[in-house]
Amino acid sequence: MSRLRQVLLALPLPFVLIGLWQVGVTQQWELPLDIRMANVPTPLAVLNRLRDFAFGGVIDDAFSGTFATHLWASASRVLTGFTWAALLAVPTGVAMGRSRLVSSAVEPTISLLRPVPVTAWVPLVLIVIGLGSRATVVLVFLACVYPILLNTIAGVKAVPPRLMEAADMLGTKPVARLWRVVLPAALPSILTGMRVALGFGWVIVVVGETVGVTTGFGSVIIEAQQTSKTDLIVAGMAFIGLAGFATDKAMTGLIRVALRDRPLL
Amino acid sequence: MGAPHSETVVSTRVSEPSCATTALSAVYLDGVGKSYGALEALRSVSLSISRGEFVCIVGASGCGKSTLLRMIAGFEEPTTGTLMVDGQVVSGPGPDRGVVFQDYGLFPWLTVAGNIAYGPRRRGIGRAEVKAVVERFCGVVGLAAFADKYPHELSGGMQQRVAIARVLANGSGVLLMDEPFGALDALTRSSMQAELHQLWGELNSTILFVTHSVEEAVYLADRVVVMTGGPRHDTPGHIGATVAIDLKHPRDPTSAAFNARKRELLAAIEAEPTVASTPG
Ligand SMILES: Nc1ncnc2c1ncn2[C@@H]1O[C@H](COP(=O)(O)OP(=O)(O)OP(=O)(O)O)[C@@H](O)[C@H]1O
Ligand SMILES: [Mg+2]
Repeated sequence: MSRLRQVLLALPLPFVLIGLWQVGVTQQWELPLDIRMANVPTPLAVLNRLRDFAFGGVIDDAFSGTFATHLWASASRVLTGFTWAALLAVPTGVAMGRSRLVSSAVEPTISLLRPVPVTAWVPLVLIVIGLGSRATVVLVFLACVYPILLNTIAGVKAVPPRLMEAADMLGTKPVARLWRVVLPAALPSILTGMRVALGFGWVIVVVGETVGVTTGFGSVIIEAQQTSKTDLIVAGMAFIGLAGFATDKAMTGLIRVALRDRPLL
Repeated sequence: MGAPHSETVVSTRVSEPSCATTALSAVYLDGVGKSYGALEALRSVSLSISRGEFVCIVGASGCGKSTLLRMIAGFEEPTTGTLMVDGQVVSGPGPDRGVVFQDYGLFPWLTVAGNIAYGPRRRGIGRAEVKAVVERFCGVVGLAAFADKYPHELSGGMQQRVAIARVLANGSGVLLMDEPFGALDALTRSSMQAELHQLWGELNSTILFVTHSVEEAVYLADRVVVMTGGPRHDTPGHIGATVAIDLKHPRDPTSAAFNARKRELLAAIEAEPTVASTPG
């Protein structure tokens, strides 16, 4: 019953917005901040483009039916950068969370580097690595590394000393504490960091793809801009949003399976 | 308060462990002291616990009960004195001494069965045998139906049973319990006391049990160690008296004899803290 109520409450707003959008475009509204609705594609044009981009057969240009190619290009860049980030950040975070010495040696450097936004890295990365897929992967890596690192450190530091004592008195060897207690206890926090990182990864991959590559959603919307295909821009935006949403859902599903119904520490 | 001494004949004495008791003792402390920086928490604690004995420790907050237990467990090192378990000097925690914490300390990512199996698995015991041990001790603490539940799905009393089953399944000969029933309601608490006492009889383990409840101590113990002192009394914590409880089991908390022991114990607790003797 309340579920139905929720749906009924949520439904009108999108329809109102799409209606206003349609009317605004056909009436060529001039909105504040120089927003000229005449330059916006109609909802129907976007819908056609979405269908054509996904399956082809409607518009028949270079982008028809190329959705899967671009999705694969963007997703593989996100996952590659994310994987490298996780491989570096998890062990580093565990070491920093466990050892005062390692933390003192590494933490100040990280605090200095972290305020530099990933977008500020773009020009340097493009020159050092050159145009191409690699540069985008590196930018995704930079975006993913901090959330995973910080959440891993926090999770490891928050392991209750009581659980260490319990493990010790039950006969856990000191070296085995790491995977018997520290990692299981910190896992929820580490996975949360990974989830945040994946979100950042999808943001940055679009930025990275706007230069020097011909595949990926970022390159699609930039090329669409250069050829004034506004319907394609909006369609690309929609697919980027969907891809990020789907990745996040997959990640939360994975977290649920990994943690089963245990409480978050 | 200066309670008048009751007419009971049970002796109140400070135990004087001699070298002869060392080999026989499950737990042996001689002149044990503990300082945290400038704070001297414990001084000159000497105590000898025989195998199979059930000893309760009572005393005001801050007199060092937990500190004493944690040193025997091996979580902390004594600053002075000798501390032995089964004739071996304690050098860190080990599965020969099972600890039951007041806050349970269960692994939240393991089920009841997983928590109980944890110790046996670390000892490299075969799968089938671990399964048998888990089944046995789930049954012993009455949680057979909850083996696949996670700790957060259980009540406090049930979690404490898991914590007890976990150390029993690990074959610990010495059980160290720090106010294990402190967080339980009165009803659960008294049934847990009866169960623990029965288990102790069956498994023949040595138990050192810290409690704030005089009644609990008289109900469970062969011997009650009364600790006094602590920072609030400007003297380090130490053993004030030892009271033997020579009542037959099962004990009836409403009986005259039971209450006589309670009065005696209360008098020992409320006595002015003696000044801890200097280590020597
Ligand atoms: N890690 C520590 N660092 C500094 N002081 C400590 C530490 N642990 C205990 N103490 C001090 O040692 C004294 C004894 O503490 P302990 O916890 O053993 O008391 P207790 O008898 O168990 O009290 P309670 O009945 O409240 O549990 C206290 O004064 C306490 O402040
Ligand atoms: Mg205590």
